[in-house]
Amino acid sequence: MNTPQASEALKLKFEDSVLQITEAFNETTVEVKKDAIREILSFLQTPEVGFNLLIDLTAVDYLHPKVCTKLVYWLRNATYLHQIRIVLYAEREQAVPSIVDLWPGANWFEREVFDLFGVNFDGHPNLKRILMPDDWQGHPLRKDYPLTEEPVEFKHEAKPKIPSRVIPNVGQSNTN
Amino acid sequence: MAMNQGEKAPFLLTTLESVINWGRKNSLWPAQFGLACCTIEMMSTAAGRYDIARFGMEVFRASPRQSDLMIVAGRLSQKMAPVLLTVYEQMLEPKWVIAMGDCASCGGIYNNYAIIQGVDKIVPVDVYVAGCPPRPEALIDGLIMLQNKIQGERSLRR
Amino acid sequence: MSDNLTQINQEILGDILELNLGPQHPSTHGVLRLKLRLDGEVVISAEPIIGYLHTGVEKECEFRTYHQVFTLIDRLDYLSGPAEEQAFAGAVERLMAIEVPDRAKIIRVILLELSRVASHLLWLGTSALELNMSSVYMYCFAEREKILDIFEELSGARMFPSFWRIGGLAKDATPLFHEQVKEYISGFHSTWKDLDNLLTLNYVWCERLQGVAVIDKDLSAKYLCSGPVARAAGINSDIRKNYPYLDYDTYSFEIPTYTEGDCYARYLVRLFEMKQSISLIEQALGKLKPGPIITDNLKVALPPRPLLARSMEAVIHQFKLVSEGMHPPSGELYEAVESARGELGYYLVSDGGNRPYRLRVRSPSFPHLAVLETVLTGSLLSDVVVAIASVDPILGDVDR
Repeated sequence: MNTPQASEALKLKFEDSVLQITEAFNETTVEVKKDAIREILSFLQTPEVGFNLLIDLTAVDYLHPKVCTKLVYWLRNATYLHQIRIVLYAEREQAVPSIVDLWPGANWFEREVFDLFGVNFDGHPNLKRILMPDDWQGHPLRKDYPLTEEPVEFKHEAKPKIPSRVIPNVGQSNTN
Repeated sequence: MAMNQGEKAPFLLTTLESVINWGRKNSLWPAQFGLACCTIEMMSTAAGRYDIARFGMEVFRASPRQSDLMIVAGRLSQKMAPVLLTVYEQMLEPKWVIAMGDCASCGGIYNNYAIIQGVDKIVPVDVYVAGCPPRPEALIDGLIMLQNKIQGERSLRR
Repeated sequence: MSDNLTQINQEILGDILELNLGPQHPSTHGVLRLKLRLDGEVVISAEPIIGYLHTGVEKECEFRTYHQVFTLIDRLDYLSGPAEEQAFAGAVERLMAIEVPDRAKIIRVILLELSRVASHLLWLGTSALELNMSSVYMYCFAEREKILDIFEELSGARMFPSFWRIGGLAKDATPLFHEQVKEYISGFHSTWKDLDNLLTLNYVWCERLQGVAVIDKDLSAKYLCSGPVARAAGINSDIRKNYPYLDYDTYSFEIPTYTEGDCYARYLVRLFEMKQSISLIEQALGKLKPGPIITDNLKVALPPRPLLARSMEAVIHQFKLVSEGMHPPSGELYEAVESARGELGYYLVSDGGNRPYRLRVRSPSFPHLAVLETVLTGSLLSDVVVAIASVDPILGDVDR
């Protein structure tokens, strides 16, 4: 199936779990409920639907309008070469079902999301830190974790400068 | 041989010292400690065009116990810092350290939670080679500087 | 009595050695750590441990403007810096719907393919060095130096040109660039022939590489492999053909694919990819025509210097771009590029500000190292080195 057919099929089969379908920049994003992610992904993986390649599994952290983490699954259909993005929102302390048995390669991706964002995965065989040292405290890519920059010292009693504040942040959401 | 600063050193000692230093500087054996992009420029320096075999350094020993120069080439992350210290402590005296590249010298373009701002927070550095990555000629310049430093060392006197 | 002996034998011979192929090692292609459990020479389990080069680039990019990000991401996959730059520039250009002029597209293709050849040459040189064939290392590096000369002529830097800008390139190519590229591609064939003669039917090379670390089609799909690893397993996929960017659908080139999936097949894929890249460069040079090198959308690209003396708007745009940066619309998208290692994807989330909200780099070598855990079980210790080399990991990309 190609992407429009797949999103229609998803809407038909999982009516209450599929929350929203958006289209932007030639890409389809399907927002789903957290607990239904395994069923949805295994449905997409079936040969009839055909989205059997999981290209990327990542997360984005939000502080406004509410503190949550958005998990992003990017799937591809190997025959039609169509792609679809499945998105779910999880609160900070909530656990998300793991998809390691559907794609063994997602093991390291989920470990990375756990390490950098603090999202726990239910059913993951080996959930420990992968990029940071094993005894590191905190989850670095969260928005409330500071960049921890060392100020650059100058001579002749000039004030030290913090590199990321030299060009100010001008934006809509005004994070960091 | 412990001697005071003011005493004049005997002639034989200084000649022997300069011979020993000459031998040491012309046969430095680097230990491989290539971390990131600067490693590629280090490998280019060891390859045919910018040959460092003419300075006696083509032997990149894998084991730190058989080497006397550690070229820290690349960015040092928090997880790698204990490994760097362990490898440095395994090297035998006399040993020297070159911090190659901006990331090893001062943290480089990265100033965040994950990169240690300068290798000299962990090990004592003798020569800093700047550049991102430094050209092979710059690395050879740093090596010559280190060689001159070794030649001037008071290896038999303290 | 014989039962006792067998039991004693098992206790002595069944000793399992835990060996740490540590982060500082000449053959691990970077700071990769492998925790091996060996029974004699046979590997019982191999656990790759990464993170020794974690740089925090994704977090750092959230604190920089869009132009400042180019130097940071250049150094991720440090052998194919142009591929990273193209992926990021392509993502922002798609987000803002910016047209890149044709001349810039063609020169971008030339730089991308040159960096692919340079990366494969370095891979071949270091892999052969690990099997103790150091003359191949010297040949490959001598050839690679010529490519670095071309980069230096164009942008001033050998390895990281940082030449991409949103909407085009930083500067136009000089006539000397044309001459150098033409001379390079005419001289490449003899080096390729040399390397082919040295290695492809070399007895030691074949014995060490054939049948080792087989990643077949099924394993490759389950473990999200891409690039030469997937193509050697029989999956005929290449981002340049499937999702063409930079007008790759107007060029004619083939994608070498094999079915065995062992290290030898991956070697052949990369060897023939070098040839295809040279043919692509030749076609690109034929298409090159004079024209603008960057878009004239002043909200995105710095205005040309002569215009600054004549137009007030240009001065204001220059000031805004340098002191504040540009503001793409809010949205998220995924842009993929075929780097020398596989599918390099950039997932860019923008909130309308002058800094990226989230920049995620989907690195090609990350799943390739994960698949090593499955593939190395049951192989010999000497095959471990060959397997890591054939997968071509770059730890800067894996650890980001």
